[in-house]
Amino acid sequence: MPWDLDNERPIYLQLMDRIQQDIVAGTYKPGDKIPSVRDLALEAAVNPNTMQKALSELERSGLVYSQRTSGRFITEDTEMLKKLKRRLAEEHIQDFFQKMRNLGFSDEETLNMIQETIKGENHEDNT
Amino acid sequence: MKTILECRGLTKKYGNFSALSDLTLTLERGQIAGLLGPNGSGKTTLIKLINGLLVPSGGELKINGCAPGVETKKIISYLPDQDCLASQLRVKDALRLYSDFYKDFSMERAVNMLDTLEIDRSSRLGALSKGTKEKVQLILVMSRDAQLYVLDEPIGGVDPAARDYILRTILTNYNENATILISTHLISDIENVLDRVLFLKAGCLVLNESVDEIRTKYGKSVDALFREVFRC
Amino acid sequence: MLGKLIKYDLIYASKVFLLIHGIYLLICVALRILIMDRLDFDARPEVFMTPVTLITVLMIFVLSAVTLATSLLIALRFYRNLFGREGYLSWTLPASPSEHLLAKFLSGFLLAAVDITIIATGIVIIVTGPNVAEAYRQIASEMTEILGVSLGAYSLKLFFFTVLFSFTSVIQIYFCVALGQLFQGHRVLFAIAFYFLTGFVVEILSTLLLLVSGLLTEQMTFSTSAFNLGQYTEKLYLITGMLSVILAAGEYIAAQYIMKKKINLI
Repeated sequence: MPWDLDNERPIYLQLMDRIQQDIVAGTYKPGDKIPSVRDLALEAAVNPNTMQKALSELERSGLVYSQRTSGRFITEDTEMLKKLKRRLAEEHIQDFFQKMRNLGFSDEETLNMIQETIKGENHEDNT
Repeated sequence: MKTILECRGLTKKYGNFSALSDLTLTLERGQIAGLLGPNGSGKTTLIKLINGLLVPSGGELKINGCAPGVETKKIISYLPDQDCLASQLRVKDALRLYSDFYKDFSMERAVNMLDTLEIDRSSRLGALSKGTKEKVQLILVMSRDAQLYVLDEPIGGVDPAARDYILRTILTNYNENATILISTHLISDIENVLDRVLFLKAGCLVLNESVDEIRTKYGKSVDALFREVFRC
Repeated sequence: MLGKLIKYDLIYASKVFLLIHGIYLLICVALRILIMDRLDFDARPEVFMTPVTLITVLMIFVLSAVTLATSLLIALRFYRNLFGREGYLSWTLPASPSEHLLAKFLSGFLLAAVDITIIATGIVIIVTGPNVAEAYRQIASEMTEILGVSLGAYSLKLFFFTVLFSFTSVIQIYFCVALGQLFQGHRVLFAIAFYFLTGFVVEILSTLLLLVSGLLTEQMTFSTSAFNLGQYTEKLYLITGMLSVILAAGEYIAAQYIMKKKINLI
């Protein structure tokens, strides 16, 4: 199944996002070997050069490291992975608040609504 | 040598009509380039010039440093925009023809791909459906280890599922040192596999940029940019 | 490369070619068994002349058909393989224009030569029945005197000349097809027009040549006893043959030039 890519942002950035997502979600475990550029490109249905660029960027950030002969691996630095997870979460939250502001809700109102929603969900669960 | 294709002032006229005018272009190795433009913009003319099927009216064209000729034909694998295999041939005859004439043809690769698609090698080309015939031609072309693949409208007349198969075939067989030039007017389908796009408009090159550059610079997809450049 | 090109040319052409000539040979065998072998040459001429005339007319028709079909096959192979949609593959094979033309020339010549050989074989099948041989024996000496050599030797010579010079007609076809390619449209139509035009020019040139060489006036004096038909046709063949060879050489060079410098597939 080709990866779902949007039309506005550079493709390599979207590929990086997607791989980071996969790492955080546990599709790849720390120290796991990741598929070859060619295989990943085929899976995503994108140009191998673009996939190569995305992986090189990830490598530069330290999230992925390569061993000359045996390929690319996910970092075993769990601290770094935690930070990544944290950062992605923050991005989602900021994104969410931005959207709520666009709808005309103050941050406080949004927080209240979140709490109510959670309560509601719990209540439903109990019955 | 890094450059695979070089055109300088390339012009092709049919009578008074310029199908291609003063085209200057260099294409590096190791990329997949899309040759985009509306019908009649000169895509097929450029492709035929590259393959020596047309004689230029002016300017210069070099493939790997040579003018089109026997040497360039050895390293270019060409998919025409029309069915070029004699219909009385069987699929296996076409395979033998390719392996007879092209040293870089891999019979094994071709047979594997045909088997995957469950295309019977003993069926006559004339008896195959249009879509299947196009797939056979693409398989023949992609089974070569060429340095420049020139694909004229490879996804033009086929359904979306076949389109996916064709793109996958191109990606699977592509090697890092080769260059692929794909002409098409169906941009959104192919955008993600391209490194670079060339826009042709009325025989002139109006844009030559990498896909990610376009997205960074204009904040829009190549498809959207195309619609803007060629708005009617 | 040349060998491969010729091989594929012959593979492409062989099916139709063999079919046409197979049918031709069958017709010849049928005529021999059904008509020729039953003729009685001791009967009055009015009796056996009717079937002989019938066979002659029929054979002229069949021979024209076979010759035309072979020429068409050679022309179509050349046109389709190089200038039709198959041309997109042919011209992108790693072969030079000269190799393409030479391959087409050799394969076309081979087809033409085999065509003539089979045609001759068919005629031999028809006329070599024991009754015909017996009848001919009565006029053999007369014929030998007119021809200068025995009929067998004369026919053999004629056959070799025809085979030898058949390549000129192959080149003429290629030249006309190539010439048609110089036009933007109606390329086949132009090719056919050029074919008739070159045919016409060849006719005029050879008539002129015969006049100059005095052969045409010699023919007028057919009845003189010094005249020898065998030598006469031999001279005729040599002179027109030489003319065709010279023309063919020019046509070949022109076709090669067009294929090298003027290829424009549309």
